[in-house]
Amino acid sequence: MNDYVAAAFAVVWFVLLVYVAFVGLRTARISREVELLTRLAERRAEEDRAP
Amino acid sequence: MTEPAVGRRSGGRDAAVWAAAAAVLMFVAIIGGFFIAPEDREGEIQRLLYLHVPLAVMSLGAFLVACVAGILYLRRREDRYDEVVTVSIAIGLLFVVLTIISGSIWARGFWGTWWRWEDPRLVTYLIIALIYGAFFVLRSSTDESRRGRFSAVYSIVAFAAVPVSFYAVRAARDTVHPVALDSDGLQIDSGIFFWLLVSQVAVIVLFVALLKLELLQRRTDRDLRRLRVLLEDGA
Amino acid sequence: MSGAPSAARQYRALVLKDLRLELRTRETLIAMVLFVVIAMVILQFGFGTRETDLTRFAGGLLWVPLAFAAVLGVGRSYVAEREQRVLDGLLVAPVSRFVLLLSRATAIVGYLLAVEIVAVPLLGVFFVKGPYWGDVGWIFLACLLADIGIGVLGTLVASMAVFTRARELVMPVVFLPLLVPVVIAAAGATHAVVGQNDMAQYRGYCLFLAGFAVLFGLVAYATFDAVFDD
Repeated sequence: MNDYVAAAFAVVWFVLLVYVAFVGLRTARISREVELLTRLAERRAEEDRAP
Repeated sequence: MTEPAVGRRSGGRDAAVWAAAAAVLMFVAIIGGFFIAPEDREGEIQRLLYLHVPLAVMSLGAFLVACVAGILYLRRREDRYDEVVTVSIAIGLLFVVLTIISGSIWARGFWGTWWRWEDPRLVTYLIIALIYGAFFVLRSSTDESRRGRFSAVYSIVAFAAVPVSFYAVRAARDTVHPVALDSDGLQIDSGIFFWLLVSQVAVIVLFVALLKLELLQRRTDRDLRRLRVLLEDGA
Repeated sequence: MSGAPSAARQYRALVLKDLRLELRTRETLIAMVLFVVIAMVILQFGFGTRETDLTRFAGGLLWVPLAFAAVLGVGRSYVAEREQRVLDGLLVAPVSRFVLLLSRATAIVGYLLAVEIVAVPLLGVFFVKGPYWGDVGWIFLACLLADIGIGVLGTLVASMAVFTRARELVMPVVFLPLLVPVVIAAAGATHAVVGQNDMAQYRGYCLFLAGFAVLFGLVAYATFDAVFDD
């Protein structure tokens, strides 16, 4: 196959990888946030039980 | 105030369905375009068309979506329209950049140079990239109270400038030089046309999937922030 | 609404106010003219050292400097801080936003024409071999049509840019890409007159410039209110 077609494929793959990385980082950030909020919620539940 | 929980869950599923469809269709389109479609007399490099054209077309579609969303925002002043404006333009700009890159690679393979000022469409897409790149410059330097309004106004102005730019650039070139990508001039092989259509559909679905995913993402961010405020204030 | 002056009178008053402001600060007009001249000189160095006859570049040599001068001039029209308070006053007054838009656009057109009165003859002197001075009229017509489009679109964009943080940077980045069609058509019209004497082409470009002005006049009319919706 032509070199240039290969180049085009490479560009598409690269963009795809960048996007996946971007989404991955976002997911990680949200997971951390959810974990933090879960702990906050658990703490509040304890405080409610023991006034 | 809060959306029903059921609606939210199906929002996620909805985005996932579109994403899966996009993945499948893009795969089919690329395999079909690059391996199955009939070869053109211009050789292998012509297969780039199956990516280049749909991306080019869909980028304009994205800007149309943004313009409509901008009009709706100015009418109804609801933030969700502002979100669509921003995300559509972002995806559209991405597609434009990819269009230019693929167009440049084609030019290199077909004409020998990475760039041709004589090619009206390539040049116009460059101008369009600058116009919509400026959208983010404007948006980021505007404060929150005005951001939605200005973004909406600009999405309309920019979209009006698109056909004008195409026309002007084409008129500036009084060349009889055949435009490399002017497929309506060539005899379109029905095989090529079929796979071109498949690719176009795939890219449209891709746009919708990306749009929904990003909107979902932003909504989740907002929900999390709200949840955090609720939990922290409770003490 | 009795007591509020008619739209036409408001328009005239606003235009006069803007022009009077400009005339009082004559230095800025002179600065703009100097800017255009120096831009022409610099451009010439970019092309001229190998070419002796720059006639075929006349269109660009006129309109690249004018385009940049337009960006500077349009952005400027809102800069003075005193102006900001004047703006607030205007917005409270019963002046239709559209009249405000028109008056500003007119002021910009007047401003650009003043610069062009100097720039166009200079173009003939510097860059055209054996200039035919009858052409000047045609060039001015094209300038006028282009200026109207620039004025309308520029007012709309500047009205947004004035509220941004990096105003001096935002204005050129946002305005110039939108101006590309105007530069193409205006330079093309100039070239058709000076370099080629092709009046059919000139007419085509002028029609385009008129269409541009109408299109963005409509867009501005539809959206201008939203810009000032505080």
